[in-house]
Amino acid sequence: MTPAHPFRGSDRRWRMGAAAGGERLPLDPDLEPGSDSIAPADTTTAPRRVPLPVRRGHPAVVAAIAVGGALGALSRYEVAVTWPVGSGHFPVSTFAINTSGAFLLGFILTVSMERERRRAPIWRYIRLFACVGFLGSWTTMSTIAVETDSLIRGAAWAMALAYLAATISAGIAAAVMGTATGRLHRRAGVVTERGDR
Amino acid sequence: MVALLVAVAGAVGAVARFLTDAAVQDRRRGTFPFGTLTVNYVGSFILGAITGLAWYHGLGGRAHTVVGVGFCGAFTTWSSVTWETVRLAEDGLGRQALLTMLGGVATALAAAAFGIVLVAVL
Repeated sequence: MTPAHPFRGSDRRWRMGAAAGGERLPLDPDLEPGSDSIAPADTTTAPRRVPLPVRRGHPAVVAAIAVGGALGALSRYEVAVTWPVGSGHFPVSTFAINTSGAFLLGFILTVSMERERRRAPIWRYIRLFACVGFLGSWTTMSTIAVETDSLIRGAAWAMALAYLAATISAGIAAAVMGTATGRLHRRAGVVTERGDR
Repeated sequence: MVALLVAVAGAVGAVARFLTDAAVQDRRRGTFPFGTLTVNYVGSFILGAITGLAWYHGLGGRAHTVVGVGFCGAFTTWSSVTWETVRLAEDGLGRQALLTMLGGVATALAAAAFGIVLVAVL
């Protein structure tokens, strides 16, 4: 028995997406692009999500995420081992990991959306591998939580607050810059392709 | 050897995050990213619990590293939270964006603390 295609009704969906045009970035990077786009502000349609079109259990989908996830965790482990942070100190390695991941997710997801829209299906796997697998695994919330709890436990209140404030503000700034860079890259790509014709 | 186990645990954590996030989001309407909130809450609780086990009950360093750095690190995510915050804000959903970021961090902190305390009193 031949396994089902990992993406449901994909070509039609993407052609329609391309025809509709406009900005259709997903709200949740773990979900299929366009599946959770909200209605424009000037319509009365309530914001909604539709079910994920990716076949979640498909071996190709699982493999792309698993390989990315393994590499992400391994990289984070190596960084943590190479730059250990003493108790009571600013957790600089986790901060660097999370901030870089926020930037890269903004950049790669924005670029891959456009590539997928132009029916370059390999980008679906690049997105699952890089965004859902690698970057999801590279960045971490649980370590932020436990590091902050440890700082509080050691009565390093100011450091705990500084860590959270730095992580949140740098994370948002990095995501904004990553997305903006991705859009810039995309516009540059459009210009090049037109020039080629 | 530990590095290899961390990689395997990372693969399991990443796939589990993907499936959990999608399953939670299937059951929700609206744009608020409950899936990401759920994985971060659960993963932070587990990391808190095994950190507590290491502190109070002498859990070995290797097990702590493999489950904590490998699984919990991969299961939870920060990049999704920042992306969702920015996307919600861009779509004019400022309150949801604020709740995604501050609520996400606050619930993860609470979950980790809960895990540590729960293990400490056991």
